[in-house]
Amino acid sequence: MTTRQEPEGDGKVSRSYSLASAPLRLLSHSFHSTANTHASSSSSTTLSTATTTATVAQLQQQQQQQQQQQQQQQQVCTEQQYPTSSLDVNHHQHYHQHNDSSTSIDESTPAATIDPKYVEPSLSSSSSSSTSSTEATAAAAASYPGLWSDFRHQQHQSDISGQWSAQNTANRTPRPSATLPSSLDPSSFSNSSVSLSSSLVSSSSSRKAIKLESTLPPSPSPSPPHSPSSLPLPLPPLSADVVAVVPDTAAKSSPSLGVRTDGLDQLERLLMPYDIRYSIFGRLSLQDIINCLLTCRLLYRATSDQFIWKRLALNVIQGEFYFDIPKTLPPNIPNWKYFCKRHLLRQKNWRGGHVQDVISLDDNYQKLTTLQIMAPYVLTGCDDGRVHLWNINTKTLLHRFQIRGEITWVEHLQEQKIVAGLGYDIEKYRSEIRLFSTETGQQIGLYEEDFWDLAICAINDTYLVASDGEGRYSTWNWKTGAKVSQFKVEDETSITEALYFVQNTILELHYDGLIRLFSLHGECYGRFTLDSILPNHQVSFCWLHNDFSMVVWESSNTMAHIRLPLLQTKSSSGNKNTVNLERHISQEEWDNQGAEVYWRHQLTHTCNFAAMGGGRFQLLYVQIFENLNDHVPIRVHSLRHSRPAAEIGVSPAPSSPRPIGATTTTSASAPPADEGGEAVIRMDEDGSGGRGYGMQHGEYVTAHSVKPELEKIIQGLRPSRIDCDPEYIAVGLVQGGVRLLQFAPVDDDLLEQADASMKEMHVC
Amino acid sequence: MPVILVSSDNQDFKVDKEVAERSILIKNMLEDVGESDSPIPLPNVTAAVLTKVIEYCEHHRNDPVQVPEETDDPRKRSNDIEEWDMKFMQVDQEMLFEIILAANYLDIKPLLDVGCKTVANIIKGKTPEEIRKAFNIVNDFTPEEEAQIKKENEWAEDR
Repeated sequence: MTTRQEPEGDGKVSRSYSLASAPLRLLSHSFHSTANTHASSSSSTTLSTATTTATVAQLQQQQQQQQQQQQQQQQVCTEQQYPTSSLDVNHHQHYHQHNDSSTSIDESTPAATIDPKYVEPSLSSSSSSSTSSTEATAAAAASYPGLWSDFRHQQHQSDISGQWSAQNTANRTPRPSATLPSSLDPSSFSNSSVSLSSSLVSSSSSRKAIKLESTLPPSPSPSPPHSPSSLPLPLPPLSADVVAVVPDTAAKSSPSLGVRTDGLDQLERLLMPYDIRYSIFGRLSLQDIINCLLTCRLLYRATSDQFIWKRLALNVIQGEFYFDIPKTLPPNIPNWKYFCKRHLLRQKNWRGGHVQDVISLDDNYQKLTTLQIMAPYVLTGCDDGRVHLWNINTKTLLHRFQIRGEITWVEHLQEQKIVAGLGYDIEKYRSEIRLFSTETGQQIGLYEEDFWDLAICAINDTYLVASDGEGRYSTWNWKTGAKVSQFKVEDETSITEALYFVQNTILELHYDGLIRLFSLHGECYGRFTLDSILPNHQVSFCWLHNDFSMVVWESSNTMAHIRLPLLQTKSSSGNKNTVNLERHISQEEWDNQGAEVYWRHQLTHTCNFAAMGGGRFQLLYVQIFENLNDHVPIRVHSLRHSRPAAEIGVSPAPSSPRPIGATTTTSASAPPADEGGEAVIRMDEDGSGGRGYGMQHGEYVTAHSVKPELEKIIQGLRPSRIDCDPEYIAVGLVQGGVRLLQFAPVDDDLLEQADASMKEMHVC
Repeated sequence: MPVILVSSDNQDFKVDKEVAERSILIKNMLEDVGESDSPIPLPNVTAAVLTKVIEYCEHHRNDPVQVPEETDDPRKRSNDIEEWDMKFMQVDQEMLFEIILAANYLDIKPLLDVGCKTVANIIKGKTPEEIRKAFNIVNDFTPEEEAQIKKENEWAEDR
């Protein structure tokens, strides 16, 4: 075991392997590591120095340089330009374009000496920072105006068009003196009608900016020390052109008759305007894009566009996360291709069960009794009453709260900045609920009841409900601290297994499959059975998903994913739930709506605990098996959405369960076809225009690793609780502590980049 | 009231205002200029292409005006081309490209879309070699470059 006992108060994160020498730093959780990539393709002349002369002795200098590059990179991004720019003096291929309003730049001029007159202000500061003084770096960082927050094309697409036009001309013409197509432009017309034409013309026809764009190297060139580090980078180390952009109207230059028109010329002309490029390549799948960029230089450049890659990247991760992607993406993702790659690889690793790294969270834990991972937070509770809130992006312990007794329930309301926990003191037979503020770390509420066993709780943005599981309920308004109601339900037939708030309506699921809905004051809205779905009357676990579908475990070996149409609106926006539940719901209405089964699956093993994670469209199930010495103890069951591949933008998922790895074959049993994803797909196409909740029965994968040292760590775990999200499986241990099994790729580049980004944060 | 459009090769085209205004460029010009019967020069569009474009606009003269797409990432699909449009787009590749360029210049979004969909469909599902063939282009990578690009993109290969 790698667990180490640390003294109290020494909240500790450690990587169990491979990072021993690396200082703790902002590591690669979720999106954030993607915000600092492709150092070697970045727009600095220092790049080639850094990559070709890297020795151990120069590491530090190199890091500085990379840092600078990164800042430049991001500034390039803020300029809404191609972030994949590259300037590599070693390649001596600087074709310089100039139009009537810009001067030509000497071929040997490094980027640092670009006349700032032609550079937009922040870019100019980034250029100057490449003169590689740290002060300049700081200055550049200080002047770094913000994040790449504006994704609208309108403001800059025409710049890009212009750039594109100049770029291509430069590349196709082996002389620096190449003329621009703009010279043919009927600019008098364009100028006179500029106010009439579309906004993209008028918005930028007068803009000038230095554009940096990568192009293909004129000769094969990656230097040996560079090759490994170029792996996660979107573009090879490339020469670059410094191009003074011509007015946008150039991009729209007229077809001039008499120009040689072979296929390439035609295509090049077609792809000049940004709108056309985006409109064509924006419809292609990842595989098609890859095939395109392999065809020739022209299409390689045309498909290097960040917006094309952004679309592909968002497709890759769509629906995976609980939260809305546009809201939570860090605004400074400079390289969507890298982003796309990282998450695609992460998904592959999930499916293949290839754990990339193991991260330990240790705080002298006792047995872990609750665990919740909701990026970027991990919330744990253990049997000594302590509740820990970790930030797994920064790998820091944010808070340690103390509750009396063994923690049996914890909840983190991220928006309200509240952590709630239920502790049960087994010696005094007392339960208590405490609320803490994650802003101040102070306790803001303490709730107790005289009935001895508050077994189960739920909390929403205003209310808290607790039950003993046998019919007694108390509700509070936790914002005011006032008790709202206390009531006893007399018709209880079995214990309550799950309790949720659906808006302000309380929903409970009983062991025998009974579902009840009632108000905060105990008024019963409806009482229904799930007999048709859960015939065994032995509900053991239940998760209410954030789209109000439920996953129910029955008899420890059957799981079903069900949807209660009553709880869901038909709206195609998916996660909004505006249905009014605060009313009496008749049996008739219930029967009409019914309960829909997405899928149902029976395991051959009995599973002692399971977790679910994922997102609206992708669910991940992790099951752990106790005392299976010969087996890897963790199994992952992944359910992916099943929209047509063309829409997803990636290759289609296998349509049938596909056991991966020898140890899984015994437990993968095919579901009946009529209960699988197919029916759901049909429903989606009818109901919500294909945007719905299409699921297909996923593959089984086993969390195993090619790395023996990881294998050992996983084998040694004695899990007590488990949870997962798209990035990690979090395993809480009987012996204390949490292990995060990371599926996103970890490699040296990622670390370097994370390192640089950390430094950059400090500078900022 | 008809509008007179003049192609780059100086041919006059008399079209209904309603038809001409499928082009946002022309629509904005007309709005700006006001009542005027002076011909509108379109120096970026040849007569052959303009004929096709007008044909399209005639056919779609009664289509509702497209609302601007709300999001950055519309659900791009290319399998929903209308039958008439599909036929309309059955032209040689050079003409197809010219139509797209003209649609972009004249700001006729639906025509631009249908044209780009057609081009995307040409690319879809093809190997690099097939794409080259489809567009009559040659592989201008050196073998080393090609190998490197392949290597750097192998992560995207079939999952």
